[in-house]
Amino acid sequence: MMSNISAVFNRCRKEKRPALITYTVAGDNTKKNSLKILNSISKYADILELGFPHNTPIADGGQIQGSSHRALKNGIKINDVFQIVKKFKKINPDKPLILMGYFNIIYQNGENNFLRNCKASGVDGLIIVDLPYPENKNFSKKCKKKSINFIQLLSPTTSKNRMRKIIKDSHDMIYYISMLSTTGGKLKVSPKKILENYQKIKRLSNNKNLVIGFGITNKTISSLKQADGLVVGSQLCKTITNSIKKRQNPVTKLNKLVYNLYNQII
Amino acid sequence: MWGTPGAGYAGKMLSMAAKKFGLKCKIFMGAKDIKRQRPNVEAMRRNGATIVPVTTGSQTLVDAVSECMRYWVSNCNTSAMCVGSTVGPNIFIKICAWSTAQISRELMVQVKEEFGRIPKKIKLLNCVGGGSSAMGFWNEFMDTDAEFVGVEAGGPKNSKLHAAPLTNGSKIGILHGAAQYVIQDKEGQIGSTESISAGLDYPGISPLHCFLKDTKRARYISATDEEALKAYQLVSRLENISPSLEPSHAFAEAIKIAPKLKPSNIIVVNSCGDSIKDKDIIREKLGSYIR
Repeated sequence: MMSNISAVFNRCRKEKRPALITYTVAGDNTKKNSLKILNSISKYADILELGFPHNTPIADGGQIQGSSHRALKNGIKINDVFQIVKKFKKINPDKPLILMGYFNIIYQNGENNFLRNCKASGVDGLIIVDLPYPENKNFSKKCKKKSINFIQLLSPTTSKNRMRKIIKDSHDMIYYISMLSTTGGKLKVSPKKILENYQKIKRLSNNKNLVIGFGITNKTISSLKQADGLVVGSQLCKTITNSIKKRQNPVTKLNKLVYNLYNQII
Repeated sequence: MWGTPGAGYAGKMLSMAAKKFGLKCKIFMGAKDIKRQRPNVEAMRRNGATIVPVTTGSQTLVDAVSECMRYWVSNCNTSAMCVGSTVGPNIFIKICAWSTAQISRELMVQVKEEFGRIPKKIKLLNCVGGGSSAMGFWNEFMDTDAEFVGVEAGGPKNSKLHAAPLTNGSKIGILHGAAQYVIQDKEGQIGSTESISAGLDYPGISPLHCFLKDTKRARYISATDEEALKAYQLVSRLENISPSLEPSHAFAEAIKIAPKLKPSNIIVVNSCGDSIKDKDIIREKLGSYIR
């Protein structure tokens, strides 16, 4: 059976546009709001990444650090994250949802237990930022057995040889990190250069679904339209921060932003 | 070149090396540590290093390492990262432990000069934060009968906060790219620590020490802030050295066990830092500073 994730990429390909992938943090700014946000932005977003917060997020810049901090301050626990996913998937069973976070949370939850929880709540995929190849081999196999996509990461410094190995171990989607940066950095490489690297990986990977993330905002997204999918994260987190500051409703603000992002890639 | 010291000793050395070779040097340090380790910070500045204050989280070593890693992934094409302790991803642990091992090579020579051989009953006492100086102190003695005792930071007396993951039964977790015993909650969020000594104030511990503990090659205990301060006072008064608050933890243990030992037992304590860098803290806690 084709995964929800593959189905989305096939549909977007037919519509001749990249898939829009968003990232928000579970529990940001409240448990309720983060579910409302998912339900609301899923009208325009094709795949939803949901962060399970960690208090030592070494790959994240200021915006996502802020969101994680807010969520943890609100007392979010890993079981709350699964509850949010479950409630979301009940209304949107076909909309792919990917959990993203750091390995220690999974390790403490127990790998098998964590994957059982993923399956039971309807998680479609996982991005674990600090579990690189080849250390992720066992875990990614476990994911495959449960039909959960383990999403491998590639970066501008990944050698060709290493890329080949990682691609061989990848599932339905691969994530290309656009530049040397944490999340939320300013796009310091030209879109042309990013797309050049992108095409090289596409050729190596025999046309696997490849998405680009890091440094993408409503200002840069249209210049990368050729990709199979584009991830926007920090700008969403920043929008939540700003709406709290201005006492505005983060749900409607995010809905507007994602609508705007969608309109730039169709 | 970037580095992350807690106490600032590694940062000081790194800034000297950078100056010598004409390299730019950036030091990431927790804002709290910048304040409490002022003398070392000033030395780094004199060597031309830029100090980047880290204001997130607890504003100590753990946040400085995170921030340094973030900076490094963003600039790894033009720069090198130095980690001032045996923590972080595999290779950084090896580089650090290999470098500090020079201490034990020198100690080996000195011990043989003093005793003609390695004594049957010799204890090597060292404080343990990230674990770099202890690794360096013990390395050459790994295959001898020497007993290794690591002293972690127990934090303030009667406080629940400490920086002693090996002594206080912490579980294995993943922090800064390595599996290790680490202070954390059930969910896997990294716990906060408290210690009078900036160099020991870290929730994790080198995987090398975790291995030495599990294989029972070394044993680990902790000393409180108060015990360390007392040990500093006693050693500074009686000896020609004045240890900083990190090795004062190890001296506290030496003072505790020495009366129970026979004259044939040898204790060697690594006095891995000078109290001058802690003079502000010591003056605040004890009212006066002697050296």
